[in-house]
Amino acid sequence: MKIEISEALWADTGHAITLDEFAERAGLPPELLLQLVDYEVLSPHDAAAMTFAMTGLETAQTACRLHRDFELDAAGLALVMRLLDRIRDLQAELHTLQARLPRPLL
Amino acid sequence: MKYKDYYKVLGIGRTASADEIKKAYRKLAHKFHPDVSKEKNAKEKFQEIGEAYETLKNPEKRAAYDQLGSGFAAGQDFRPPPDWERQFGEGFARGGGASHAAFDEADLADLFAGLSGRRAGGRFPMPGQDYVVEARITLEQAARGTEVEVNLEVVEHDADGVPRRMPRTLRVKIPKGATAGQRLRIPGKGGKGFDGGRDGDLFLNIALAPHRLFRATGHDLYVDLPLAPWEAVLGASVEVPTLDGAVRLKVPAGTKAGQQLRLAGRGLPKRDGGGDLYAVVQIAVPPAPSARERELFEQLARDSQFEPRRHFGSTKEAA
Repeated sequence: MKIEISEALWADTGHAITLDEFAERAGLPPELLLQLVDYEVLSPHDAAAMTFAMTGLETAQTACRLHRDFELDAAGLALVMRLLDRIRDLQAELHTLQARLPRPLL
Repeated sequence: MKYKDYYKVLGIGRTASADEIKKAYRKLAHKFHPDVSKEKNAKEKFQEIGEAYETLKNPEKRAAYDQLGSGFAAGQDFRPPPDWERQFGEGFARGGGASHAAFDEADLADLFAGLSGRRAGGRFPMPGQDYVVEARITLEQAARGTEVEVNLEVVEHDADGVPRRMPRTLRVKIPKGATAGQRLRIPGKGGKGFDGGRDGDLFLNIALAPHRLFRATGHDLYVDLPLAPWEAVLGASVEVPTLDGAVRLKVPAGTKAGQQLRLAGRGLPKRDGGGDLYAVVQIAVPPAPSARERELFEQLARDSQFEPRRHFGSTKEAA
């Protein structure tokens, strides 16, 4: 079987997409997405044109799963997303500190 | 087709009420939801829980599931009874009747996904699903770029819009400079769109395999650099491994344990420049000093005025 080779793109490349396309790709209702923008969980690429960069999609998809699986409203989602962000930052900091620590000598 | 005991997956009895089903799902979701769980098998476990809940929360699907019978063990090969196929199988294999092969090859979840599609009403464009998979690569692969094989199961819709899981294998070219936590996108390689809907994308989350020598954080690398006590005191020129082969590093006199000596641009490449490599100094001592080494250290101990613990102050003061 011939397997074709696909090029992977950096997730931040590509044009910004409209609110409706972003909402559809994220699986979130547009009105909930706008509420998450109000809570500063998501930021539009261009606030006037209300377009979004592809880099925000991962956050929006996480919000969608939490909304769907725990029936969280915008305020609850914003709180959980902020705490998850904080955990991610702390884990990154811990990882960096661990990388800097020398291993015991053999 | 393999039987799955959805009631057992949710830890409830077959007579559980809708509220009990929801409560059981919520409890398990708190424990296994991949976005919040630290359990090792959270993703697989939550998929199983989600599939069970999807079926049991919907009264029509639950009734169809219950009519499959309860005399099977989880994982046991089974076929829906003939009357079940007549009553519910239409949604699964519309427009040609349910073939035996279709039932044999299907996943139990497909059976119920088809059931809900049966009464969906008019047709409209359905975008293909986006998929996210982890690509674990070595530091060397990250530095030079690489190709990885990705195996996934995508949901595709047949001509009637009935979803089916299809195995798919892709080879993906990863550009150089990727590092842990970065995300790459392969446009159009997710699930196929239906009725004019766009194809989904495939996202690769990059993870780095542990390396024998280097520890990565972002695009920077750390390597331990053991020095003999005299190299640390007197300074030295030593060989340090990098991803592109060994380079010589000048260790300044008076280097202390824990100090980080930076080799600019010797980390992982970035789209704009490169990360740095840090050599973390360790002071190594001879594990079994020879008689002559011991003699020299004893002489040093007698003659040296160095007091490494001066900052402790006197022990009397401390007490």
